[in-house]
Amino acid sequence: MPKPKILWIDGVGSYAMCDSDEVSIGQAFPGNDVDLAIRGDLSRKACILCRKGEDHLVQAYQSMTIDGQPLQRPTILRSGCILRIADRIELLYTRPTVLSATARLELVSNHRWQPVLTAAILLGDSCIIGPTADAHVLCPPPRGIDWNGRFVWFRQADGWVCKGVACPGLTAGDTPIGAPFAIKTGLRVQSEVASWTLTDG
Amino acid sequence: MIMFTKKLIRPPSPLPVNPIMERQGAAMKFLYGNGQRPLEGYVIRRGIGIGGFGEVYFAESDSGKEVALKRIQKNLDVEIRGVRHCLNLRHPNLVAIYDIRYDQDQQGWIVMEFIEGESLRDHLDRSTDPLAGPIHSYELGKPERILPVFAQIIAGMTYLHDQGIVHRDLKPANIFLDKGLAKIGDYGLSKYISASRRAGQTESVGTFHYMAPEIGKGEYGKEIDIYSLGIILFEMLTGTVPFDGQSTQEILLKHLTADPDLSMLPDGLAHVIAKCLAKNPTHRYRDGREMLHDLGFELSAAGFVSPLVASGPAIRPPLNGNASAKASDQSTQTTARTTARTTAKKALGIPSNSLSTSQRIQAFFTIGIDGHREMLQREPIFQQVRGGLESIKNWFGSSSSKDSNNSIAALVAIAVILAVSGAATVLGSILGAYAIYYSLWFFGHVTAEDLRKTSWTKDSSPVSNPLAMQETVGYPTAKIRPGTTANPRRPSKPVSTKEAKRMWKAQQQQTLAQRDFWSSAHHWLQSLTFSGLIAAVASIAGGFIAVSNGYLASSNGIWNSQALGAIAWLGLMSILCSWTIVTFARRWETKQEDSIAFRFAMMVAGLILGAVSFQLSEFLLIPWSSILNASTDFQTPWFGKDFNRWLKGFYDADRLPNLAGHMAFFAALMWIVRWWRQSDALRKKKFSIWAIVWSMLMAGLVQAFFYFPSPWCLWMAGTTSLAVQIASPWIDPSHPQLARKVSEEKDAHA
Repeated sequence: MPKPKILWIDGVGSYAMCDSDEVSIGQAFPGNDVDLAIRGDLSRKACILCRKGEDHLVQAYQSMTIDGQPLQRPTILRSGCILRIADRIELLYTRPTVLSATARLELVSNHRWQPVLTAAILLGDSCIIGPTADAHVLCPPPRGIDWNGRFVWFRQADGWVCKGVACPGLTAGDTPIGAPFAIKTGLRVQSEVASWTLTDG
Repeated sequence: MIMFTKKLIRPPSPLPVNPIMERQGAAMKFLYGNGQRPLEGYVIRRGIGIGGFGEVYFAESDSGKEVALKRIQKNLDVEIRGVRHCLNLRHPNLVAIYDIRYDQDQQGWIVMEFIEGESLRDHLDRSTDPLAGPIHSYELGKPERILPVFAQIIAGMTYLHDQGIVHRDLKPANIFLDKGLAKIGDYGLSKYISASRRAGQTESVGTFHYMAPEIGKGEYGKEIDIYSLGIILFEMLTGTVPFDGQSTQEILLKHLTADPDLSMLPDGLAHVIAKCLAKNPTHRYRDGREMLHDLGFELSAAGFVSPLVASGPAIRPPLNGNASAKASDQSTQTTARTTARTTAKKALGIPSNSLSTSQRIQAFFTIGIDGHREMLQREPIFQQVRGGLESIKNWFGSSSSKDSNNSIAALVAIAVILAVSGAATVLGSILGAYAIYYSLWFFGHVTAEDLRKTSWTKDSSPVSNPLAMQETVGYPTAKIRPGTTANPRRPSKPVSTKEAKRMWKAQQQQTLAQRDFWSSAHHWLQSLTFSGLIAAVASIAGGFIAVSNGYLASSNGIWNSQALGAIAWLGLMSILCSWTIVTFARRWETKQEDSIAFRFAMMVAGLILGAVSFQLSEFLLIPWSSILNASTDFQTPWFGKDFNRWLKGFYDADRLPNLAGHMAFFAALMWIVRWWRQSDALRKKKFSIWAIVWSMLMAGLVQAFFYFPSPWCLWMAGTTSLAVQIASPWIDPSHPQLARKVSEEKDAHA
């Protein structure tokens, strides 16, 4: 199963873009083949998150709670819930907008992802990168610039496509872009308000 | 960078030169992108920020070390000299500098520790920003959370001072927060100083908002860092700097002459800040340790900061001490801790923990709903009951939404069912007994700490959380932005409450208007869903009561198809009315109220609703005449069909409303009540029984002119009002800080 790709956004952070139906979470150490690795005291494979339609299910492989309730069986995650793994590692699961099945997973305890990530994005059929609260990847504009646009990613049969909405000076690999374009790893996307690159994980 | 004994290297110039924007959030154009290797041994991953000194990148070394690379673009030699001086400093509260390297073009790069978190500047801005993310390492304005972070900043500064180094540009933008750790950065760079707190640089020393007055005279002792820390602490507590102005000259003048307004701060903190901000450097703290002590912290020999445990060195146990010595030492430590706690509480302005009986009684009535909610979190019976309910909820697997509207709807439904089934008396007795028990438990368990929490979140001091008024979950709320007011002076003429509310409302409307389409649609759909649900439940409950109490002549307390048809009509029309009102209200909530136009629009909608009502009645074959109960229908000389005899065209042969009658009734009902106010996010109260009563009274009044079978029309009006109020979002306007904050805004604008 391919590793999640990493989205690097200048001045904002880095995000693991998890595109597969199952995302495994485990301890970060060399040779451990999990999708999302955490530098912490947890199992090599602590849990998996499965995409079921519009929802995400969590299946635990070690002791785990959701909002303080022990996880006994696969459970649907709801936006805003806290997943606590091994009694110390806390993850916040959020669905910024009800109109998309895409969710965001953030570490809220004093732990770090490996490689360094701001959050992991569990991709549905679309993903919003922008400055508003409903964005999956919150991307505030530079100081002094008022930006209400967004990058919208759409899943298509042959891969992901990006459309820049109100993104002045948008270029993809130095080519000015007006229409939706296919997202490729290594392609540097720049505009006057944000610039990002997607790379292999 | 400068040693204590040295004087200024460059003459200070207060004028902005070549301003370059510091940035929070996305970057514009970084020179290097992901995967590039401008410096041998490191691969760039992404840009972090751009400042006066140059660009900063997040990079990985070939062996996987995560670092920040700072590309020095200006004054290379001066910068490198300063950084080299600090190359081997090591402290947990300083951003570590690893190396200085040169690329093939002899461009200088500083290799330094990568901080995953954000700057204090970004954090302060984010804390007052509607886009604030869900993760906060601490909250603006809460001393108990701020001081541990601030103490780390003092520790880093003290280490620098111990090494003979003055930072000279301490400001929130140079302080970084990383998973609970505070780290000072940029201590090795000469400064390009901003005219504003956020952007632009000049070749002076110190950012103007954080710049000590003696810098103008060329004095650069470590007292200037102490002064900057005083400003930073003030800003962390209040969200604004003590000296601000429209121009650089005004700010500088205030630093030189004005006294900060500390009246809104607790005594302990006000004392610390006042001492930091003394105009005379010799009147300030001599070093960070003194300042830490007054804040209830101390530095270990290794430079780590910790809460103050002892006031003197005598408590340390001998390594081979006997039991009595240990006991004595424990006693000493306990006393020392108590003393330390008292010192810390004094600094925070916390009263003693013991409360008199009268204070406890007073507290019961003054801590408010939030305070009692906090107390209930500790009350064992409540916790047991809540745990049981949670278990039931989990058993049903219905934990899909946390929205309180669900709970309210469920409670309303349960209350109605209990009332009908006669269990209300039992329930009332239980609740009454619990209320008495809770009161007694409260008097025994309330502490000064609870009062302090309440006062910090409730009173009108800016030290109380300035964001408290913005904690309306799930709905965008306008913020009082410290960057725009930036003047903590109390206005000489406070605006009236009415004026304050008007300004607040306009501010909120502006914020609501800035929502994007998806956000608006989300709130609209949410309101529709919940109003529909509540209207359905309330209608069924209302119909149940009507049938059970024999209000229906033909059913006589028995469910039959006629009763079901009428209840279906009641439910569907309540839902449609609720949806109509919610839709219009969401549309109008960002507009100035135009009562005539709004009433007209509602009246037109009422005509359509009336037509739907008539068709629904026909479809459901509701025999109005047979489901009326003469004893409850308003067939009096005033409220009766006889009164409407002159309106023959609105009624059929049985003197029941025809299509025109339905349309007339609904149009009049939609016109006469200002329904949009009940759904307005900025209404006075989330829920008002009076609004329901008023809606039903108005329905009765309309019925007097356009007769409509009762109690169905009254039920429908009441149900609609109930559903609309519960389901509509609400922004609490009653925060006590409101008037003062808004008056500050007004004062600042003036």
